[in-house]
Amino acid sequence: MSELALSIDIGSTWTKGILVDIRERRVIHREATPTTVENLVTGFNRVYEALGGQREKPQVFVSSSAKGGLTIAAIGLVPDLTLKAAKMAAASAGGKVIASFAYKLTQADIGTLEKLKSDIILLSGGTDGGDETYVLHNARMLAASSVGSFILYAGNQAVREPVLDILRRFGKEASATANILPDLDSVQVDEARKAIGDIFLKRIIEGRGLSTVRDICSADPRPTPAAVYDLVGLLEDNDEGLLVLDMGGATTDVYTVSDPYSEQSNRIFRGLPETRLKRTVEGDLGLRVSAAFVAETGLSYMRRSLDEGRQSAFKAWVERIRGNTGILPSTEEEQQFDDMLAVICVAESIARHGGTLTPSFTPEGLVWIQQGKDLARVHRIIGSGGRLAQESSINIIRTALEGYFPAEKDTNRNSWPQVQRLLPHFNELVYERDRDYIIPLAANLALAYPELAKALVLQSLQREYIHD
Amino acid sequence: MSNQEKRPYTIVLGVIGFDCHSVGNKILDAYFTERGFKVINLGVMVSQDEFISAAIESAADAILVSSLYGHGEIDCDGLRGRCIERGIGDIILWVGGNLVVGKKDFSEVEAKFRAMGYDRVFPPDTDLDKAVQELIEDIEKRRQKKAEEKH
Repeated sequence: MSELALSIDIGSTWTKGILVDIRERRVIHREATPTTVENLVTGFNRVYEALGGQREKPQVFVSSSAKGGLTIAAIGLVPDLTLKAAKMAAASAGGKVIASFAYKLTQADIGTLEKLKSDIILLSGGTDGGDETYVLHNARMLAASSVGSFILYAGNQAVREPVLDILRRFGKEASATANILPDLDSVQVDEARKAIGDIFLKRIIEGRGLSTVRDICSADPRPTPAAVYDLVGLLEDNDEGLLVLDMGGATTDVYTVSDPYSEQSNRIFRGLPETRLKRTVEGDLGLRVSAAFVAETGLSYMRRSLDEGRQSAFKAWVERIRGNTGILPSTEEEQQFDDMLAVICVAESIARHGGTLTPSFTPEGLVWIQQGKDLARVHRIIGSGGRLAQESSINIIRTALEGYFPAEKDTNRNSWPQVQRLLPHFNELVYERDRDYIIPLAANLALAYPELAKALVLQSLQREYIHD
Repeated sequence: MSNQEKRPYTIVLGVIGFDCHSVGNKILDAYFTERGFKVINLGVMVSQDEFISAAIESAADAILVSSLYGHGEIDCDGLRGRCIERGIGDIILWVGGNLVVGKKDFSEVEAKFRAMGYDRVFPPDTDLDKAVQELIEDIEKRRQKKAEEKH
């Protein structure tokens, strides 16, 4: 077997690749070319050739997030239970949840699904041996529709066969996997991840003209975020609690591997159990495609940070760049505005990834109710992708964690306890940036060569901040 | 009669409202589990909607609500209505514990909670063996009724 590995990531704007010496654990060459949306293979071949793919016969590993990535519509029963578990499973598999539905699907919901044309519909509902009526109803609704998405059933296993029968009788492409919520105490994403990976191969890789690419690969091509998810699981040292941020033009991804709870006597946890390894993706938080929405979300932060004249300049900048991935800041002021957008993306995406504490008064005194993951257990952050890979991205992280949500620091204003976000504590952090934006490319190697993948990331990391 | 394997008796357990008393809750969990029930124990400080959500996903036969801190009247009212609204209006609802503050005649308390839609109401000193028998009876009756409705 060749001692060289070639890793290529077909991203939404760039197709990037590295040629790696496996034994010496070093990058020999790197190459990037704009992604050729009309035919992804063209761009792929360009990078493959430039890195000596023909000549050197390396082992080839490929991931893709091109053309909007892997889109998933999630269907569950109760919003906080199976639907939430379905969203967690979809995100961990590298998917982007573009719509979600609880309880019984209506005709209007079906209309939405027909219009959205997601790659996959993840159909769940009921614990094993639990409710059957809702998933059967929803399967019938999907069967009778003109929805063309692949339907993956991951609900109550007691009705697995009837659900598949209903769907297939009406010509739907469908398969079934283990329940994502077999009982209310445990979210099980592993089987669903595997099944989603298989569908990705069939529908995306072969469906989008990449079957020739698959033929030269040493392992099946994967969705980029699914590969990164596995890599992040490898990167944590000594249970330190790690958070990896990947901020792009359209989305911001947050990955954590950390303890979800802090042991404190006056705290009670509510809701679905949280996992140590977790991914969330925010499809509405990105520096370009979604810039207008980002500016809207961070309005109060922007008003606090700029005087009125500069506020209109900021708005003009947002108008210019929204939806235009090509424009880069050329003046100091534009750079500052862009960094403010980055602060909003980072702060909001971390806050959504993490949980909250809600104060509650009981006969035993004050009790805090924790919902979602406690990110105070995170002690290391890695910034990757676009602006975060560049110099001084530490300032973005600092402002996002310390200045963006000001009200909670202001304890004098109101002595009554307030709802708190469970964010990482900046003064307990190490921050590193992924200088060479190696993470997606190293991620491709994570399953076959975990130590190599880890080493490549360490070579790219530049330490920017260590707490006192 | 269906020839399917019989589903275990499934019950949702929890202490309602802002009540942190966990000892009785753990005893009930152990007791019913030992007697073959499938127990979904939500622990302390459980909201009405959490009881209902858990019951829906697990297709539970019964919800057993505990209240120990004297706010039972406020916390428990309205649960039946919310069950009806969310599609499990016929579920068995039990409630027990120190349901009201002060010394009141238990028959008064019972009448009050029955009026709220609870099928059975229990004082703090309840014979659990008897309760298990009653629960099985209630569940069998409900299952039979459901089976008849199907035909």
